Amino acid sequence: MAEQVIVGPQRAVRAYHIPWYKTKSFRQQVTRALATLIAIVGAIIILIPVAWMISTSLKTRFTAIQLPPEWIPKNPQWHNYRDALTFMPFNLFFRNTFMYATVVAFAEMLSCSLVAFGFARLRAPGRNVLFLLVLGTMMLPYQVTMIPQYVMFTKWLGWRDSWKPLMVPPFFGSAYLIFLLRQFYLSIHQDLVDAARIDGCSHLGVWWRIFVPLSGPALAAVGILSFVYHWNDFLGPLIYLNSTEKLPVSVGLSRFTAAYGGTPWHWLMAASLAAVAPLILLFFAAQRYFIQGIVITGVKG
Amino acid sequence: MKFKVFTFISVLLVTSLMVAACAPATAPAPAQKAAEKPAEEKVTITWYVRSQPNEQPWEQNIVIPEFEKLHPNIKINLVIVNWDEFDTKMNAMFAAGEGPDIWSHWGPSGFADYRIRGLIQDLTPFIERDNFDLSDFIPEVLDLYKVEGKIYGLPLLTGASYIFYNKKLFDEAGVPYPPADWDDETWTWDKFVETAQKLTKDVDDPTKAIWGLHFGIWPNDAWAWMFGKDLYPPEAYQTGFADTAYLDSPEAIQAFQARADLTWKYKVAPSPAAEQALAAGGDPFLTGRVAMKPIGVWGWWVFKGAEEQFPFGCAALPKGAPNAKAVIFTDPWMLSATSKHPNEAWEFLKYLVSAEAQRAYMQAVGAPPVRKSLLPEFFKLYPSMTPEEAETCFLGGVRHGAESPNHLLVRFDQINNVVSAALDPVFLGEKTAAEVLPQAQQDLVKTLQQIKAEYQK
Repeated sequence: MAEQVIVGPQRAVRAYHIPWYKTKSFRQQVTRALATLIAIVGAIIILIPVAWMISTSLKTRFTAIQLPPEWIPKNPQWHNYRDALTFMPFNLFFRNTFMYATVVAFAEMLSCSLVAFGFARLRAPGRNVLFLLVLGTMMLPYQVTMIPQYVMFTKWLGWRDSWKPLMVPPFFGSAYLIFLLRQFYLSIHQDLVDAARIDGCSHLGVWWRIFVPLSGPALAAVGILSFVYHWNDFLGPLIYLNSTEKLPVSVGLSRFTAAYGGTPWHWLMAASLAAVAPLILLFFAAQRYFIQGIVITGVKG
Repeated sequence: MKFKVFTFISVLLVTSLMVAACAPATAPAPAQKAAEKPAEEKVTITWYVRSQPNEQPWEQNIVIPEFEKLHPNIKINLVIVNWDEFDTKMNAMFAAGEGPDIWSHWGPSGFADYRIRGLIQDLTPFIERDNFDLSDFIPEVLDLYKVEGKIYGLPLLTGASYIFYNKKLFDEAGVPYPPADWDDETWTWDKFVETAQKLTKDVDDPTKAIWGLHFGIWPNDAWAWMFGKDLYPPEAYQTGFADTAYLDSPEAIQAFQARADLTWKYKVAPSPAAEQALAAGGDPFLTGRVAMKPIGVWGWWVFKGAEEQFPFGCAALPKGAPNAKAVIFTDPWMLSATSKHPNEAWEFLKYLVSAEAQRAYMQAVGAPPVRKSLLPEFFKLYPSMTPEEAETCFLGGVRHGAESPNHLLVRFDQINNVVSAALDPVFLGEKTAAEVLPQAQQDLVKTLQQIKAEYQK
């Protein structure tokens, strides 16, 4: 950065030596440091409840409610995890939840992909009206359709105390995921479809041989969203299931709550941490897949 | 190729539907087996209980295995319902014709609601048929759920309202313990306030504050009872309905003002704001920061085990007037009038109130039993008080108490909401009881008459 004199046609303009704090690279560094700082502060704020959960899960029933709270328990009660998870048949609850979330995620990937393909590529009278109708169902909160659905499934179909009312509907799609996939499918080039059709491929063939392979990342996103949503699902299982051996983890956790301030927080927190662990693992595993997915779709032809 | 893809999808759909249908395959199998062999038909009894972690080991590990071993033809379907969803789920299930066979009044609705709606079976014919021995039950407690000579429920636990106190804090402040004896005439309201004042320390520093007392008394009626006034006429507790109320009586005004003064005038109880921080994780009494906790019978089991932290005792409620009363809470097991298998359900109910099941319950939970023969054992459950102290305190409360209105008045939930809404500004220190209660009395009477009219149609 030597001092320069720029000579213009009319007059000489003297450009001063640029001080270090005005250089581009320094500004970049400052921005970056600031962004990192904000991210760190944000992360700490977000992690405080998690830290509280971990800390509480290692306390006794009495130290858990102490004020001011003891952040690092002097006497960590590791056995809380064993006690909480054997207090109720959590191995069964985990198996139920895993089964439910996996089957439903698979069901929604399949059904939503087919329906989205239809909405994106097949031309039929009333298609857009139908699509708006599907989107319209998103405006209805679950609480509104809950009772009629309950009556329909239990009274008409006799699906009492069963997973069927929760596992069968996903095979007929979910509005949000259909919308998500349709938008992705609209970006796939029509030439590919035309070429396949000329070669004699059927509609289903086009879906299976072109759309499904090309939409790997989008389908993965749909699968993950669906899996996480149903892993956490509480209201549906709460309404339809009665027997203890059929419950998912979410409803099992709610059984730790008690009236009159008798909730064992140390157990509740230990069991809750165990319940979110699979989701955290899934997040780390899926995060990499997401990034790869973006790279792949970036070079589509 | 067209064919291949189509086949693939159909196979996929069919298998996935099958997986969905069979996934929790545990339940349908035994049911099918039972259908194949009608000779030894298995009867399922649905048992509704509240979500209460300290009761679950008793329900799941003791009652069900033991009972099913004794009665191989009966299967118990345990349904645990959260406190706040108890009534919602009950009502929905009753409406769908799938009500429980055995349950207790653990939601906002009490015994009276269920009885008026005709949901409870009269147990007298079963008791007479089996010559079921009732002599061990505490007689007053057994009579609670007897209406017109018919027994509608057999009790599981009972107990009045008490003050539990932290002996360590009393010792540190050099204050004598409050009396366990309910006949001690010196334990007046003024003495109670004075004791609380001596124990209260550093209330402005939330990390060090020691509170003289923390409220755990429910329902609001309890405060008026301490001043010798009932908010409803005595016949209401038999019929379930009231035409009038005494919310604006001088005694009630004095009682609710005295309750508010503990927070705002004497500052011995935390304000609602301070309380929120104090009670965030559980009952603040357990943290050792509260010297006295007036609370319903559940204090016995919520505080069981607190001896690990500090010794605690049981004391009588203070007398605002000589004829003061304490609220008793008794939970009965009820048999549904719509039960499809009343005989098997009665077998189960009999087991639930048997001495062995009650002893196991008492030991697992720490709740007071209703059988006289078990009381001596109960008084020995609490290491930081002598059996005599526990006995004097427990039985005195029962003797000086009356059953809670929430079990005996129809739609008490709605009634209580009217009273609580009126009292909120008083307890928040915004208004005096004398200002709000005359108007609230009118609202309350209107509500009571509406409820009565609805059921008389």
